[in-house]
Amino acid sequence: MRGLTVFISDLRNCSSKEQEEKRVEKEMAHIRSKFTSDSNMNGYNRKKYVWKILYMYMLGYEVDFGHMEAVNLLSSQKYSEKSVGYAWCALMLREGDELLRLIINSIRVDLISRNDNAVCLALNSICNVGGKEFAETLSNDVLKLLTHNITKTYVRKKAALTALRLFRKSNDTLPAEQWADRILALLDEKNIGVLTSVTSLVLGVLAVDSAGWEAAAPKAARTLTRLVLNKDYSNDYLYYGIPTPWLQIKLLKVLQHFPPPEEHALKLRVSEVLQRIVSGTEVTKNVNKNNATHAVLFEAINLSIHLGQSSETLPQCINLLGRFISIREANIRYLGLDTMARLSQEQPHTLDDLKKHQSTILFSLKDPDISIRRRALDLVYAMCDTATVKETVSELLNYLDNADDHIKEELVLKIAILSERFASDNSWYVDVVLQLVRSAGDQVADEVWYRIVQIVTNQGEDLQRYAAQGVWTILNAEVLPHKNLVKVAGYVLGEFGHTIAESPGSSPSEQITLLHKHFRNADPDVRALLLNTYVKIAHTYAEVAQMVSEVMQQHSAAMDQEVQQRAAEYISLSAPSLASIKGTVLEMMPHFTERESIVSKALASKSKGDDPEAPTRRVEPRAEAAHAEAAPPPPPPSRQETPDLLGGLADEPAAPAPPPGGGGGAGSAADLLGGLDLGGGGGAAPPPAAPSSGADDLLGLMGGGGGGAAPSGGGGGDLLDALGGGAPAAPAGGAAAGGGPSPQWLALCMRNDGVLFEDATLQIGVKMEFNGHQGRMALFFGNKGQFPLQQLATVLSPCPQLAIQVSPLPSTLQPRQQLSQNFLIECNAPFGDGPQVKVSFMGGSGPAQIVARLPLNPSKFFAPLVTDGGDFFRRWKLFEGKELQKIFKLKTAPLAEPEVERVCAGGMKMAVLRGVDPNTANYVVAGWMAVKGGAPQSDTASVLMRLEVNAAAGMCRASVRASDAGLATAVAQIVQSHLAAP
Amino acid sequence: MISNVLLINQKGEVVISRIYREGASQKTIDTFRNQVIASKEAGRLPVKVLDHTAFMFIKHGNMYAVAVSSGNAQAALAFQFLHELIKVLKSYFGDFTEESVRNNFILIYELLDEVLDYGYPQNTSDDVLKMYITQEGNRKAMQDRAGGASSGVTIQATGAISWRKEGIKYRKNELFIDVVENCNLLMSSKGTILRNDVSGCIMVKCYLSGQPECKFGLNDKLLLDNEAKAKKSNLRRPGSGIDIDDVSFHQCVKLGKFDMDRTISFVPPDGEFQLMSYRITENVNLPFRVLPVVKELGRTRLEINIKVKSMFTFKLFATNVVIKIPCPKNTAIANVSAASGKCKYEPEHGGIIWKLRRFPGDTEYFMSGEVEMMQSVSEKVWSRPPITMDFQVPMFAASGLHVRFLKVFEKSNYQTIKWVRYITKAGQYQHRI
Repeated sequence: MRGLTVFISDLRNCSSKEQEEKRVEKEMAHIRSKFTSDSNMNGYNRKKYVWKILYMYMLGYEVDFGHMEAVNLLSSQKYSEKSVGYAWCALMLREGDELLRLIINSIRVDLISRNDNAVCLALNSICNVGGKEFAETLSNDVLKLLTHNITKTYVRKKAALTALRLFRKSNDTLPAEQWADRILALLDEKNIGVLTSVTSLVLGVLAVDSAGWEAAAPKAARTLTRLVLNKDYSNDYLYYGIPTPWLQIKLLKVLQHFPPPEEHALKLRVSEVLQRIVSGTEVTKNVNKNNATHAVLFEAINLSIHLGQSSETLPQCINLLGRFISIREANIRYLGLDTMARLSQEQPHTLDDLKKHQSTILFSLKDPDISIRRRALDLVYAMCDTATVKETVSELLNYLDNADDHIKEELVLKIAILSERFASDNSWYVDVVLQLVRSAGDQVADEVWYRIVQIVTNQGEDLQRYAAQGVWTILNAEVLPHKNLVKVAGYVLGEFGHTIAESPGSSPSEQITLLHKHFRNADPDVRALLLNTYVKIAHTYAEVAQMVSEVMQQHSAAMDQEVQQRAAEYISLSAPSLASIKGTVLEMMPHFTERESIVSKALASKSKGDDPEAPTRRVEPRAEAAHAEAAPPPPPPSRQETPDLLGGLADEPAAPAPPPGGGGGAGSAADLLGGLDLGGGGGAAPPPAAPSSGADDLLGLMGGGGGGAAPSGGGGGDLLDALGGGAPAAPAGGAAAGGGPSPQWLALCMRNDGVLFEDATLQIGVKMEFNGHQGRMALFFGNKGQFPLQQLATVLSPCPQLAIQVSPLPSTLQPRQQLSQNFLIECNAPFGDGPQVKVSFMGGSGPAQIVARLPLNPSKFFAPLVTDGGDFFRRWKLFEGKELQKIFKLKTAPLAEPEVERVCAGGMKMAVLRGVDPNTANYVVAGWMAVKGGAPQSDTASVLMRLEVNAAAGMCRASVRASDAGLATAVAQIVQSHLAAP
Repeated sequence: MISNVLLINQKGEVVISRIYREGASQKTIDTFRNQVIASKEAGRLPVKVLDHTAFMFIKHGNMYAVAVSSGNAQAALAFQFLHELIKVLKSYFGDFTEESVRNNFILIYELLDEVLDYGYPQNTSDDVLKMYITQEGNRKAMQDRAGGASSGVTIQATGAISWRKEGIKYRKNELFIDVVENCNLLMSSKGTILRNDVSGCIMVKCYLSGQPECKFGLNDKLLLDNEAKAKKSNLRRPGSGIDIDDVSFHQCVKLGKFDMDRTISFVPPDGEFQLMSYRITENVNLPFRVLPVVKELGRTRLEINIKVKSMFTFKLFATNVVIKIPCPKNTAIANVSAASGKCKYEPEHGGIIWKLRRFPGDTEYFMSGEVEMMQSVSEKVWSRPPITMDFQVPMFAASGLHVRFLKVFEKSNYQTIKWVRYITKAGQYQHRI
C-alpha cells in the first residue's frame, strides 16, 4: 500500500508538532471527502484509509469517523481486509461501546465459519472487548468450538481463554451440569498448550463455585503425576529444566479448591507428587530457574498446608520453610514468612514445630526490608500463646524502641492485644500498656488506653491500686510525658487516686500538683480531662477543694470551649444547693459492660485496610475469649449531661425545683441526670408565640408527655394540674402576641421608654438606648399585687439577626417592688420583627405567663440618610423588585409635614428629604440601618420610603424599599399604624 | 540571571554554549535537548522547566536560542535579551542560520562575552558593539584598543548618550518615520463590538549627521488641549486629537520633558529603532467590516455567505487580505466560490481561506459556500469559532494618529529630508459567527 507508506514517512519527516498536525488534518479531510463522495469504494482503498485512520489514532489524534467503513471491512471475505477491521475494533472499541452491537453479528458469522483464521480473529476480538452482552450471545458458540472434536488445537486454546473471559463477565454462561463433563474431558488432552488454557478456564470457574466440578481433582492429580513423576511431556515445554511450571502451579491450585481427597489412590498420587516436588528442589545460581522451581515449590507447600494432617510432607515443608526464612535472598525469606503465618493459622497443631524457629523469626523483625518486617510481625503475632506471651511481648517491647514509625502503630496494637489476651495476671498487662504509652505515645491509638481504663475499672481494688501506683511512678519519672500518658494518669488518679492517697508522698494535693505540672503544656482535650480529675479528687478530699476551685476560676474564661465549659460547670456544681447532684455526678464510674475488645476491632479494621490476607482474621474469635468487653471511650461522667444542666441553671438560678414546663421527674438528682434530655427538651418547648386559644391544650399535652416519660416523679401530677389551671390566667399577653401590635408597643416604636405591659398583678416597663448597631434595654418588672411572684423568668423568642445578652433576673418579686433585667443587643443583619419575650411566674392565683413583643423594631437601629435626589433614586433603583407598598386612609388629609417629621424623623430616625419629589404633597424619606460590620450609609444598608398622598381621597400610598423584605414590611407597618386612620 | 546561553540547531545539537554562572547541569541540558527540541515539543511552550531549571527559548529559522536559568529569572527580560541577541548577530553577519553561526563562532563568543555579564544583560546595541568588536583585523583592533580608543569605548558605554557615537556624517541627511499599527477587533455575531483597540509603534530610520536633537509632534489630545489653552485661542476645537494610552519610549527620549509638557524630544541613535509604542482604545476607525451568515442545515450541512466591506477611503487599498472562515472538524466536502480573490477549503488550517491580493477602499466583496460534513460518532456540537482576518492597509492609521511635525536641531543647521509612512495591519481581527 504505497499511499500508507508515503503518509507514514511524511509524518515521520515532519520537523515540528505543528507540521505534523497540519499533515494529519489534511489527510483526515481527504479521507472524509473520499468516504463521503465515493459511495462504492473498493476494498483496497477502504482498507488503506482505515489503516491511515488507525495510524493517526495511534499517534494520539482524535478520530470520530470511519466506523461504518471499518465495520464493512470486518464482514469482508478477504483476510487482509477482515484483519484491518478487527485491528480497528481492537484499538478503537472498549467494552460497553455502542458500536459493539453493530458488529456482534459479524463476529458471530466469523466464529462459526470454517475458516480458522477468521475464527481466531473473532475469538481475539471477543477477548478484547467482550462484555455481558457478548457473553449471552456468543458463549454457546465459543464453548462449542472449545469442546468440538474437529477444532484445531490453536483454535481450542484461544476458545478456552475466550470462554474464561466470557465466564468472568457473566457467571451463568457455564452451568456445571451441562458443561462440567465436557470441559473436564479436555483435561485428558495430551497437548500441553491446550491443557494449560483449559486449566486456566477450570481454575477461573472454581474460583467462583466448585460445586459440580469435583471431577477436576483426580484429573489434575493424574496430569501432575504425568508431568512430575512420569516425565511425559515434549521438550518444548521445559522451562529451565522444569516441565511447564505454569501448568503445574495451576493444577496444584485446582487441587486446593477441593477438600483433602478421601480416595486412597488419589491421596497416594497427590502425596507422591508433593514428595517429589518438595524433596527435589534445590537452590541454584540461575535466577530464572530458581524462580520457577520456587514458584512450584511454594504452591506445593500451600497444597500440603491445605491438606493438613493427612499430608505426610507437612513436616518436611516446615523444615524447608525454616530453612527459607534464614536464607539471604529476600524474596524467598518473604515467601517463607508469609507461608509460615498461613501455616500457623490453618494448621495450629504445627505451632510447636514452628516455635523451633522463633529466634530466626524474631531476628527477621530487624530486617532492613519493611515488608519482611511486617510479615515477621504477623507471624510472631499469630504464633503467640499463653506459654510464650511474656517472652514474646518483652521481645516486641524491646523491638518497639528501635522500630520505625511505619510499623510502630501496628506493633503497639498487637502488643496490646497479645498482652491482654494471654495475660496471666492483670498487673502485668497494666505494666505492659503503661510502658507502651510511655515509650511510643504517638503510636498508641486511643482504643489502647480506653481499654486499659476499662479493664482497671472493671477489676478489683488491688488492680486499681496497682494501676494508680504505676501511673504515679511513671508520671513522676517523666519530665515531658506524652499526652496519652497524662490522659491515662489523669483518668486513673481521678477515679482511683484515693487508693494511694494514704501512702506517703502521694497525697491528694501532691497528686494534683503533679498533674497540674503538665497541665500548662497540655492540649485542650487533655486539659478538659484533667479538670475532671481535679474535681473528682476535690470531691473526695475537701482539703484540696480550694486549690481546685482556683484552677476552675482561672479556666472559666479559657480560650478552648470545652475547657471553659467544664470549668464553668464545675464551679456551678459546687454551689451548696447542688450538693446532692454533685455527689451523683462525681461518683466513681460504674463498671463497663462487656463487649468485644475495641482494640482487636481497631486492628481488624486496620489490617483489612492494608492486607486482606493478614492472619488476624482467624484469631478474632479467640480474642473475645479472654476478657472481651468494652464500652465506647469512657466519657467523663458529666460531659454529656452538663450542658442541659446548665441550661436549667440559667433559667432558675437559685431554684433547684423542677422547671415549670419540664419533666416532673426531678425528684432525685440521679433521675435528673438520667432524664435531663427530656427535662431540657420540655423546658425549651413551650413556644412563646403560642396562640392563646391553643395554650390550654398545648400545655396539657406537654404535661402529659412529661408525666408519661417520668412516672416516678412525685410532684409531676400536681404540677400538671397547676399548670393547667394557670394557663387561662395569662390571656392578656397571649392576645398581645397573637393579634396585631399593642398600643403600648406602637407607642414604644416612637419613644425609647414607656410601659410595655400592665395588668392587675404585673407592670413591665422599658427603657432603651441605641447607638449604631448596639443597644441597651432594661425591662422593669413591678409587682402590683399583694402576693410575691415566685419563679419569675423571662425567655426570648429566637431572632437570629440580633445578638442579645441577658442579665440574670432574681426569681422572686416581692409585692410593691420592682426588679430590672438588662439586655445588651447587637444587630448583626437587617431584620423585620423583633423578638418576643415570655414572662412566666407563679402568682397568687397559680402559674401565669405573659407573652409580649419587645419594642426592638428595626427602626431602632436606623440613622438618617441625608442625600440628594440623584443618589436617592440610584439607591432606589438598586432595590428594584424589593418594594413593599401599603395603601391606607390617612388620619388627616392632606398629610402635614410636622406629622411626617414626627413619625419618620423623630420616631424612626430617618431623614425627610425635601425637593426630591416635585409634588409637595408627597414625601421622600431615607435612612440607613446600622448593622454589625456593615459600612455606614452604604447602598445595601439604606432604607428608602416614598409617601404619595392623594389629598382628595385622603389616601396615602407608602412604598418602602430595603435590602430585606421583612425589614421593608416592618417599616411600612409602623408608618401605616402611625399615619393611618384607626 | 541567565546562567547559560545555548544556540541549538534543529536536530537538537548544541552549536554554541556559553556558561555565565553555576546553574544547569549538562545532564539537564541534555534532557532539554532530547525532550523538547528533538521531540518536536518546541513551539508549544516558550518556557520549559526541568529539574528546577527554566529553559526559555525562541526559534528563529531553524535555530533555537535558549536562555537557561536556575534562579527565579525575569522571563520577559530573558526573552527580550534573546531577541536582542539575534538582532545583534544578524547585524553582524546578515542572517542567523546554523551555517552562519558555525562560520563565526569565535565572534559569537566574543559578542556573548560582551552582551551578558555574569548573567546580567549589558549593552546590546549593535552600533556600539561594532565599535570595539570588529569582524576583521583582530590585531589592529587590539592595538587601537590599547591606545586612545579604549577610553572612547568607556565613555561611549557609560556616557550620557550611550546609544549614539560621535562624529557620524552623512551627505544627505534623511529621516524616515513609519507608523505601524495593529488593529485588534472582536465582534459578536450580531455585529456589536466586544473589544477593539489598536496597538501601534513608531519606527524611525535615522541617517543624520552630528548630534541632532529632534522634536516630534503627534496629534495627542492632551498636548493639543494644552497648546490651545496656552494660546487662549479657540482655533483648534477640543477633541480633534486622540487619546493615547500605554505609551512607552525608546531610551533616547527625554522622559522628564515628556512628563512636563508632553513633548517628545530625543537625540536619535543612528540607524533604525523603535521610537515609541502605544495603544489606543477609543474612536478606532475599523478598516473592514465582515457580515457573515452561517446557517447549519441539519447535522451535516452548512451554508456560508460572507460579505466583507472596506471602510477606508476609496483612494487607498488593502493588500494581502486573507479571511479564514472556520469549518467544523468533520467537514468532508466544501464547495465555495467568491467573486474575486481565491477561495479554497484548506483542512490544514481548519477552514476556508479566502485570499484577496488587493482590496480597494469603500468596496464590498462576497463569498458563498456550502459545506458538507460527515456523520461522526461523538455528537459534539460545533463550537463556531470566529472568522479571522489578516490584511495590510498602507497609508491608513486605524487610530487616527498622524505625525504633526518633526523638527531637527543641529549645530550645523543642515537641511533634513523627512519621510512619513503609515500602515495598518490586522492584529487579532475576529468576527464571531
